[in-house]
Amino acid sequence: MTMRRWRRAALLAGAVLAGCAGGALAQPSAPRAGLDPSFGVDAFPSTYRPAPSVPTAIINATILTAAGPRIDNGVLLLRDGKVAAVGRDVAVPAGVQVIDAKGRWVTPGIIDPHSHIGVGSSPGEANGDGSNESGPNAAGIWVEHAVWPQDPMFERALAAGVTTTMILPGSANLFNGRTVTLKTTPALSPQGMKMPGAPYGLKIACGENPTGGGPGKPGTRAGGMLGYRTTFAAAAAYADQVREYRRKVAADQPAQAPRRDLALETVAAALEGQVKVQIHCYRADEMLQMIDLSHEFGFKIAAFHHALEAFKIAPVLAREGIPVATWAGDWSGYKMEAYDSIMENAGILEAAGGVVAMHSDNVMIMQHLNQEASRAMTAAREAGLNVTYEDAIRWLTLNPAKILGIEARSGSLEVGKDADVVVWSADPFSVYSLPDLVLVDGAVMHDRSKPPSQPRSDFELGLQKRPEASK
Amino acid sequence: MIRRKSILAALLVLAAASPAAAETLAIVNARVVSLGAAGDLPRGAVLVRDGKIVDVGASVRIPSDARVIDAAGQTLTPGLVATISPLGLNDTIGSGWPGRGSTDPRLSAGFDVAYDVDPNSPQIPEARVEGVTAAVLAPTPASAAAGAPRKVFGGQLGVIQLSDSGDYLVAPHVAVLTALGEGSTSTAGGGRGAWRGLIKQSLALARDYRAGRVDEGKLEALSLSRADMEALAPIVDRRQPLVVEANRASDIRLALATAREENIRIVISGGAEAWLLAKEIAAAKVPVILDAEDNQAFTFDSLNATYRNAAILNQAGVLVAFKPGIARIVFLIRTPRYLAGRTVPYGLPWEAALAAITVNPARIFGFDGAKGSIAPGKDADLVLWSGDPLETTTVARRVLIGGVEQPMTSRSRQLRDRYIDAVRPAKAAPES
Repeated sequence: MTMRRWRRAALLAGAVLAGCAGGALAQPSAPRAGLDPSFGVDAFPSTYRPAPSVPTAIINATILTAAGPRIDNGVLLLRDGKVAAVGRDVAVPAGVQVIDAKGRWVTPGIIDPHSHIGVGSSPGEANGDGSNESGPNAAGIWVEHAVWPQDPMFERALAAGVTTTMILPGSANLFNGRTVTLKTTPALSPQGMKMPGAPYGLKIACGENPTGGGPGKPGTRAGGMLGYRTTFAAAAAYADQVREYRRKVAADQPAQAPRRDLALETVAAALEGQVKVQIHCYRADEMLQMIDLSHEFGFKIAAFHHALEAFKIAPVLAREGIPVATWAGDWSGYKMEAYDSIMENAGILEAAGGVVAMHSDNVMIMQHLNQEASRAMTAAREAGLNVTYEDAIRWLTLNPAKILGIEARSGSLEVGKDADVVVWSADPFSVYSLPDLVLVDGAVMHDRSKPPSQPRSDFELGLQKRPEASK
Repeated sequence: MIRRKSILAALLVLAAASPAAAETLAIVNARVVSLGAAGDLPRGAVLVRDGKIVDVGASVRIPSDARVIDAAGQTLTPGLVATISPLGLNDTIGSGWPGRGSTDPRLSAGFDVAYDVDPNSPQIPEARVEGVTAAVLAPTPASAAAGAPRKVFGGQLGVIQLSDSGDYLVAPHVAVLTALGEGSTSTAGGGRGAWRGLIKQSLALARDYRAGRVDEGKLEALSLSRADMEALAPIVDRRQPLVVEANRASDIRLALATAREENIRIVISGGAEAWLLAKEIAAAKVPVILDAEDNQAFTFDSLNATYRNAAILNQAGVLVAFKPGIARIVFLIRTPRYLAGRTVPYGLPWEAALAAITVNPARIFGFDGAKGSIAPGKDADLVLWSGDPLETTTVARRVLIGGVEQPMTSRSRQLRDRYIDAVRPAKAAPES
């Protein structure tokens, strides 16, 4: 979709939203919130509260802001959970907590745009696609309803510098449901981790996982495309019904609320641009087909995930403004659609002017996403592409923020943004580098020098023995 | 620049083609990490003749007919060994344990995975360009369908080299695999006791077999075959180890006790909680092949998994090697070197980390006489790195197997070269 068409769709969405605002509840005959099809109501609102923080200055640091060139010997000033100043010549105000990062590196917190932690929890199907529902259309699923906040992986992700992650439902279906964007900080419920204001995503899956027959599954990719088109058409009609209902309510005319359809509601919201379309897709030809589909129904693709063959269509993806979330690109071949995987995938997308992010999809990779970026960067450089540290840090922070739609407040160390920060023991692109400190909204949530006496997860309490820290 | 380099490399390979093994080759001015008696030489040389290492040291006499590679600024190490690897066993790898296994009810220990290797698999060059020169291939642990006979052995492990020539098999059947854990013991008959009983009965039959006594009725009762007995004979003779896949400390302890009772050599594979038993494992001289990335309770068998595992075991004197994790193997087929590098900030000394992916697996599986370190008489399996081989920003510049310089090409690099030109100028051109 061109930018113009996208903007038009966004305007339309805005109009629908505006029409919805407050209308239903103002009517005496209005349905209860759960029956209201206006899809403007957030039934599971975020209860996230940042931990208390004190004004903090990180000094003498090598800073990769993800928003400009590397700053040597720099100062990062955090106040009220936000970045207050960053640069070489930032005065450190009296009375602030000072962290001397001499010899160390500072980056934004890593944002993992594709994980299944909390859903494919440990112990259990740690590597599985959590929350795979049966039936080709599981769009009504909200993955947050399956998130177990006691998954021990959250603590490990945070210790690895991941401060925010989008958790997706599985890929067994054409439409797999809503994603959720969480901070990796402790809470008793998923709502307590939900990043306030982060838009929802709709996970769509292409290729081998949602096809191949079996109960409720299309047999072929063609059947899959039929499923997408049928569902988008139905969702567009549903959106029309809802719009008409809203119009009548607003005009004080008698109106019967359409029966709320949770699956179509999410797909309609995706068509309207309120929910970001996140597509699991490996092959270049399938990505091109999905781009055509997005044009046919007028929705914007927020990102292709995995996208091992993105390098084959890098200029198209750049032109379409479609980001890619992928791995370093180790030869995988774990299934046919993953046969063509190259280490230079990210570098080629970067060189084409595209937006690329490292994702994990896996609890091990989630704990060294910085090394994924490093290896992808190294391969690209070896192939003669000019990929810099400044590019590679964006693969871990600002670009995933764009994919998630949270870039206005997260993903880079710019004044006013959330103070999600990692202080690395060394160059973050070294295999030997570890997060010394991880700050979320300005508060130190992980300190490698002071391991907690008890595990954070209730599950591990009294079960897990931990060795003494290294050295 | 890059292009010219690869053409040059290709020419060198052509030049090195058939009589290559007879070539005399000197690699000079490299940092040489020998993992042998020569130690870690900041500026050393290695002389190769007829595919073997002839000399290594700070100063080596170079014959006038030798081809000389000036490797200043680069690091030379032994070729890496991928351990408990699925390399070349499958055309595509399913998620989960990716190897091959016997579904024949009367074939378990005797199943030899070496017959499943395809030396033409594209996976082999992918690993080779990353500096992997040999692999210890493992079958899947025993599995049994409901109602099928119980099994404890997955089959035999084999060693291959990743040479571009056809000569790939280093040694078939170097060990036998069994698994002891939450899933595997159900295959053995419902629990740890069933595993122990079946192991002991099977080894007793193998001893009978060694003594020339074959009771077909007893074999059949345990769903074992003569092929299984052939495979278990070197185990009861202590010529080969039994590899026991075990993660829970209590399972590792049971494996140690069973090995003691049966007077067999074992190797622990997995070993998530091995650090809790570091002293016992060291005292029993049992090597451990770790999933170096395991740091959490994937299952209840690994509640106490930690990144510090390797460091603690190494400090206790345990011989440690690394393998990719079962479920994560799909991402790690190319190289074990980052597995090793990641353990260093958790306390494993750098050289021990490198040893865990070179000489240690060679020792564990008995091919250290030929491979695993840089020492006179050993195969010239060598890798020249752009820097620290465990570092993510380092690449392999040259790979030699048996003294023959290997092509630095792979299918994924060919794919790259087919598409990369479309974006080369884009970065330079001003973006609108």
